[in-house]
Amino acid sequence: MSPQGPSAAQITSDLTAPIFRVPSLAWFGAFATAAGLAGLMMACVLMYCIEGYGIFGVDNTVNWGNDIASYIFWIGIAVAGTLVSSVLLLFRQKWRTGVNRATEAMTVFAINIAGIYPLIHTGRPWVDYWLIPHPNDLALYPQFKSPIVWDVFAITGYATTSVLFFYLGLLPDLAAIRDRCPDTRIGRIQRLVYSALAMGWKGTASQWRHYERAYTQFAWVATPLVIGMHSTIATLLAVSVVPGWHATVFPPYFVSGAIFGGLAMALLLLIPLRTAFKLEAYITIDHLERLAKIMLAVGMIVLHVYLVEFFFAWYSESPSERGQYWYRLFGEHNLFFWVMILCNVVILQLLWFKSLRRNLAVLTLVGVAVNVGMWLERYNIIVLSLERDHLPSKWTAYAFTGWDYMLLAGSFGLFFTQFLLFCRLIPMVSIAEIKATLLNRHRQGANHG
Amino acid sequence: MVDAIKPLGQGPYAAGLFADEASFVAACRAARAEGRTDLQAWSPWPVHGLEEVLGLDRSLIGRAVFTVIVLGWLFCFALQFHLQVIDWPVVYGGKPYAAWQLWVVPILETGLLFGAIVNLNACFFTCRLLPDPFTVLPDPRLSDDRFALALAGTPAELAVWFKSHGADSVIAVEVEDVLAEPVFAPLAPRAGEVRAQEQAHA
Repeated sequence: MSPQGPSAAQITSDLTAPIFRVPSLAWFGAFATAAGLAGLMMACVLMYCIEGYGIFGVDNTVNWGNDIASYIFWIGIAVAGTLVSSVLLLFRQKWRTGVNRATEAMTVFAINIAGIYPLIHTGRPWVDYWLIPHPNDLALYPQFKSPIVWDVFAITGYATTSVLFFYLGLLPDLAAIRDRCPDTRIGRIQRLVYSALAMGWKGTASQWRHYERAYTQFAWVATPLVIGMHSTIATLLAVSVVPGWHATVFPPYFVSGAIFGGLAMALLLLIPLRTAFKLEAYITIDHLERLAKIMLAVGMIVLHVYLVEFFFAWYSESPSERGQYWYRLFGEHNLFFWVMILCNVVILQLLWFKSLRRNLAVLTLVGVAVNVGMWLERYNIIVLSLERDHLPSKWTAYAFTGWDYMLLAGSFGLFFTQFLLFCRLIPMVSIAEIKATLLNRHRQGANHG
Repeated sequence: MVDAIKPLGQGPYAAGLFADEASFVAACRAARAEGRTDLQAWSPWPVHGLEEVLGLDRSLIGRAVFTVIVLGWLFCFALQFHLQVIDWPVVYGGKPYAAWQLWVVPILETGLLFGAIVNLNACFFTCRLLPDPFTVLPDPRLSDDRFALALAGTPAELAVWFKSHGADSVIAVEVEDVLAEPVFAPLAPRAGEVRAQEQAHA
């Protein structure tokens, strides 16, 4: 590598190397662990199909338990990926090119896991297709006035758009892999596959002209879609009368919380990724620091909403609302609330210090803490609200069963299984975009120097 | 503006390979200044400003997608109106049949979903992309670290021109490689017509 940074050929070589290399033992170990956990999830879903919904901890009072809390958690992870890929693109933030591919992949993998939960939650997943607006056996359509149906539209639209956006971004890089495949038996098979996936991309001026327009257009489509999607999920709760849910602040609360948790997951993925695959020149400490800064900013918005929620409850003079927030602070499950505060508020404050923002161990600690905290936040919103609603005779205490634990652990397994495969099959940094950014910067630097 | 790089497909063609983006753009500008319209250009990453240099029109994908989004909104509104008001009216939560405020989310999401699908397919169509397991570039480095400009002529005829504009090598390229938009190539104006139109504009 030259003092001015990597050359174009070096960038291609560095970023495609993992695809043509035999994976390390560490990768196989990580993949086996993740795939094993994903297998647990599949076993859990199979058992659920045989035994029914009763294997989980939900009951008539807390009928939204792990399913919906985890569903919102994974949706949140996805949202942050779209922020980096779309919103930063629209704001012309060139630094995003170092991290956008990994975060887009994170979006795609998180959204497909999120989609599994409501499909399970319906209780009869074999008739989930009834949610799609089509005349069913009784000539009935879904009720469009129901927020549950809004959710179907939101998730379907967002998931489809995320996958298409991800694929469009891959096209030039798939072509670059196609043209680098070695002339071996496996290399020839790889070439056929990558060539088909690259759709005959040649990189002509005409193609770039349309491609760039379509890519930016995707960002314009994905940005309102992602904000609308997560606001819809928040509205789904807010339009109900359950204490702790019935608040107009929910849509911005959910969107900022989603970005917060998703960026924490992005840090957790990028930090080991850059080390394991020697990508420090492309995913730099500056990238991680910028992500940490955004995380700190949205984390403070989340803190603000935490305070506003308590103010609303006090100001409402509603015994149920006040009781709900008192229950969160001092009820039998208050540990979840205080751990959430520790993770999302206290530990986050480390990021005010530049030296700590550039410390990988601290970033990893904050990433883990915020992920735990954000899952607990969703758990508190969903479960604790339902445990103490308006009717004291209904009050109950929700608890996970072994199947709930399996489902939750399995969802992480499935996520990391997909991500580990992604690391081996697709360049983890967008080759075309990083070249345009890095090489132009070097040239401008040379001109100025 | 005339789409100046619609190739005429008459060949033969030769391409100069450039290691440097600035030399490549300068060569494209020089070719256009000399009135060459039968040309093609390749780059491994998007080159800022190349569209203007080559005289390419702005892509119509944006307008197509916006149109489809609006149509998607209208479609979803019409669908909900038909189902909720005409086909099977149900009083739900004490709201009127045509409670349009409750339809906003599906309308928004449907339009954007349609837009996304059309966006990708419009890109495939305009770039002439189809699954092709046997694609071969004129030079494999064109997806790595080389830029290329193809002009009508043989390598021998164009070698001096390319070398004087910074190319590090000159190769022969097939007519099929040069055809950027083969579907519409027969409709492309002849070289003489292009020059006449440009002179008329001037």
